[in-house]
Amino acid sequence: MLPLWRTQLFFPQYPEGPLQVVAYAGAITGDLSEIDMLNEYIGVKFPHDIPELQTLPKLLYGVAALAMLAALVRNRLGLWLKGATIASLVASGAWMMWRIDRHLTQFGANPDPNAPLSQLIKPFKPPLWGKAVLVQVEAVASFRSGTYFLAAAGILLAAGFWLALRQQQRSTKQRKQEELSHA
Amino acid sequence: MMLSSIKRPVAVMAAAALLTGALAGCTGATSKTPAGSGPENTASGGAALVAPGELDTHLGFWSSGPYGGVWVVGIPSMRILREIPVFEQRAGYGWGFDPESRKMLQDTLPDPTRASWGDTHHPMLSKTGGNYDGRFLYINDLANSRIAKIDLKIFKTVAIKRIPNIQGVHGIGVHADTKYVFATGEYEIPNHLNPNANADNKFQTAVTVMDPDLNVVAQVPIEYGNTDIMGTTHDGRYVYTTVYNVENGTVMKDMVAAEKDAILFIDVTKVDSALKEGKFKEVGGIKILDTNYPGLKTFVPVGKNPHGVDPEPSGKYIVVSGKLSPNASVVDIATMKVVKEVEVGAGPLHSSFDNKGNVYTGNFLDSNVVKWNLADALAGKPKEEYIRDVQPAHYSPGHMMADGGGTKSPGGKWLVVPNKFSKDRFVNVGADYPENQQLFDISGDKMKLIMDMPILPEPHDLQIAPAELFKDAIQAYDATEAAAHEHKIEPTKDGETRVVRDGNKVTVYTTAKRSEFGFKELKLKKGDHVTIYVTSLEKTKDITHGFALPDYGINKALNPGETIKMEFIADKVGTYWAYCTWFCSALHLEMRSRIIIEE
Repeated sequence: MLPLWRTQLFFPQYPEGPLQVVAYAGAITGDLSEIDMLNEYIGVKFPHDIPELQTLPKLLYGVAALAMLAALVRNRLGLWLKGATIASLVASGAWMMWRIDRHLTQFGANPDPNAPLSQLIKPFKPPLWGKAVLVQVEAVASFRSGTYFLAAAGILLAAGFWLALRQQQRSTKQRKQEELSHA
Repeated sequence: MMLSSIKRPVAVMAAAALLTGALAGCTGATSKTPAGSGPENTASGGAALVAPGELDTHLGFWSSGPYGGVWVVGIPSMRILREIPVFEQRAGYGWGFDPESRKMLQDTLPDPTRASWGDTHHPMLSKTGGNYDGRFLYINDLANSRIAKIDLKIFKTVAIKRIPNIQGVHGIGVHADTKYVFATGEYEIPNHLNPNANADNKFQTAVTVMDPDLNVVAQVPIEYGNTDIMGTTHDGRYVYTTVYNVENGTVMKDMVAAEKDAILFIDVTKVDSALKEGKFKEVGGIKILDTNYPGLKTFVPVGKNPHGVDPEPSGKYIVVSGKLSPNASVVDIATMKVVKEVEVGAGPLHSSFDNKGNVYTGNFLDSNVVKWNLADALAGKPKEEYIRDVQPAHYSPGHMMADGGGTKSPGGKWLVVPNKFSKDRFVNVGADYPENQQLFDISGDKMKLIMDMPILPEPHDLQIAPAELFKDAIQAYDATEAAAHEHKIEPTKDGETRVVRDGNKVTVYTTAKRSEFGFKELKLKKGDHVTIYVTSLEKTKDITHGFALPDYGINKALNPGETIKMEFIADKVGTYWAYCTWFCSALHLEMRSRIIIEE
């Protein structure tokens, strides 16, 4: 499926290209064994298998199911459901970014003081978004196509909500007019 | 009165004598630059053609002579990129110190207890359809009558065979589809190959026919003369070789006596049919073909003591360089006749070709390279017309090789001239002179000398192919395939180092990664027969480790994904630090583990 977030690590001695960590909803891929080996020099470890990889797919499926339901249900209930869908999508997205950020913080918070290159580094946090430099490594992080699709989905949902709202208001107005005309 | 009349002519004559004497003494001061090699005809050096960070377009595979191996050189920069060790140990590449490679070297020597050395002369790249295919390189060992096969997927020697019944493998040939590999026998020795031999033909040799893995398929006995340089036709029909000693002489004057020597053509299709029809005698497990099998051998007389035999690209002719005659002889393959003697200079040795119908012949005695047009020479045009360019070589060229020059499709861009003497071309470094390999740009009408490249003594011949033929050479091995293929074991995984003891036989399975071996400490008993397998856990290119055990003579390089096997008998009690031999990481020096041998 589509990647959500990626960081690239540019080293002067890897001219063939940066090492990468790519986060998907259900997996983390990239040059993990190479990065693990290099992390040992500075005394840090990145877990490959985190509970968020189980949780996030469930959240997103939930949002998707809610969106389907919301699309099928009309009237005020439908409107509430659509609103709820948008809220849950935004919440999931925010949760995802918060979790990535927390893991990045934990990652470099306590480098092992006995590590070989401990003299070259102090506690650090790789960026969630943008560039940063550690010793000779430049890290460049960005959100990827998966996240942008989610954002696009959010916009579509918002559009859907707005259309439903308008429809709801029109039908309410129509009903009121009918009531008046009968009176 | 008389004195003054004598004095003046004497004075004039004395002055004249002094002047001439002074002039005579002046000749040594200026350096002799033969015409054409001045600054206007040289470019700024091969290295300038390939800027730092750029890649060469071609690779040259040189024989390294008594270094017993192959140099791999980037062309046009003329930078040596690596050696491929073949017949000699090379600790730098970890070749010849482990059981497998040591066996390949020693088991093919008549006396396996002495150190292996080799004398490589003629490398030949494998071909498909008459063009280089980048799969294998074959090379001879003149000193021990051996031939080797190098796999160019891994740039390693994979097979070495000693050829029976002959002495001295010099020239070799590769069939146009690498169906067979052929070897000459340079020296005539007493043997019993020819069942029809009589007292006059006591000293003989043979042409050996092998499959691509160097298993001997058959031998063709040669009862007159020897076999020297070899080649194959682009259609795969013939293998041909120069015979410079038809006289069967055993001393120099006899070897050069006859006015004519020969080119021997062996029809490969007749080799196949002779084998099929059973027209051979099996001697010591080798099939010796019937020397009189019809059409098998054809001797074409050429000028005395010919040397190079080179196939021009269209496949119609071979060009024989006359060595002791001033001519290159053009042999028409279809009619097996010399159709033209082309005067090229004094001492022509080898020829190569471009893609415009030109031949480049090196003259050893003239110390030059002559570019001549084959069509014009065959048409009988005068020398001034068929010779298109003459450039001096420094000094006395031996072989001659243009890019793709031995194939159906020469590239026409580069010519390498390996010279035999370097004389004044390099700074004084003592009596063992470097050998001068000259690079010429042959893409234009005139040849342009690009640079002099000194090389260790003494290469002989080379092959030049486009670098992209080798772009898939392995730089990091698949761990499972490598361990299974080389040692028939599973690769050891991270954290799964184990020691298996069976009496006094100990087998260790361990790993290497940046920056540690899988074991921190190994305890052995004196007298143990130890085998150690080390698997590299690396997947990244250029991260080569190594394993050396001081005092035990163990040293082997370890490439990413490879598993290496080392063997020794723990006969010395003590603590020995096994260490990583190739710089691998910031903690390379710390990559060491103890092997403790106790009573």
